[in-house]
Amino acid sequence: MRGELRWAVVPYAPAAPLAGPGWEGGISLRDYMARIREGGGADALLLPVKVRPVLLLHSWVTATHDAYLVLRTRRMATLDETTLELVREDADPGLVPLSGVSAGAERVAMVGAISRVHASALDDQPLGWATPAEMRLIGERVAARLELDLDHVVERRALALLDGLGPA
Amino acid sequence: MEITTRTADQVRVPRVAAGEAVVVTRHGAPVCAVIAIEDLRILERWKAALAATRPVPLPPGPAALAAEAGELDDDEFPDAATVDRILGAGS
Repeated sequence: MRGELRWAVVPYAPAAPLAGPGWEGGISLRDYMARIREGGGADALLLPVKVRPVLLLHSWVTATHDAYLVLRTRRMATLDETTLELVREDADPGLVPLSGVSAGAERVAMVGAISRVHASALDDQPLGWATPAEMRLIGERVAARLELDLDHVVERRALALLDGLGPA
Repeated sequence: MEITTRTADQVRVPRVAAGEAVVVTRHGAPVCAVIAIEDLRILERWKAALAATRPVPLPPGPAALAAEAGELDDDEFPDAATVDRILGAGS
């Protein structure tokens, strides 16, 4: 699962003006909150969705939230020449080219385009994959992009390595 | 490391020499240790060196911003064979 590219129905984050089934037009966050407070049945929203090829970031799902975190991807053929040049030079940390795709369908993973996709909205067959080295690079860049604090992880790993060396 | 300083009349701790550590247990499990101030300085330097390996925030460049911005206009769709397979699996 991890590192596979799959077609998926990807939801995009709801943004105001918010739209719901049966509502007249969109409403602001303030009006939405008021609607909830008044019991106005505001627990369903219309979200933009697209069928997109996504890269699975992990293999596990939980029983309660049977969903995956994914990176959305784009076919390189759809990018303009300036963008392509930056991708080829590896000059942009926000894009990682993926090599495990068929010829003519070269693709990049967008490090900042993280989505959550339900398992039932994922195709069950991969259309490509990221190599272990690409997944390692993506992991580093996602951590940096999200400003994850990995200090304790690094420290524990360093201590484990020192323990493995034995007494000096 | 966040360090809190207490005066000796506020806490009771054993005296430790440089290079020595006293491990405090609770219900048989080690929970903390008392070390000499010299060793704390060494530990702080270690932690500072490790912190230097922390990844620096990587803001997206213009290519990533352009790729992300153009995504909703990208009408890529599975090929006919893939769509047929998905529809077949769902029937």
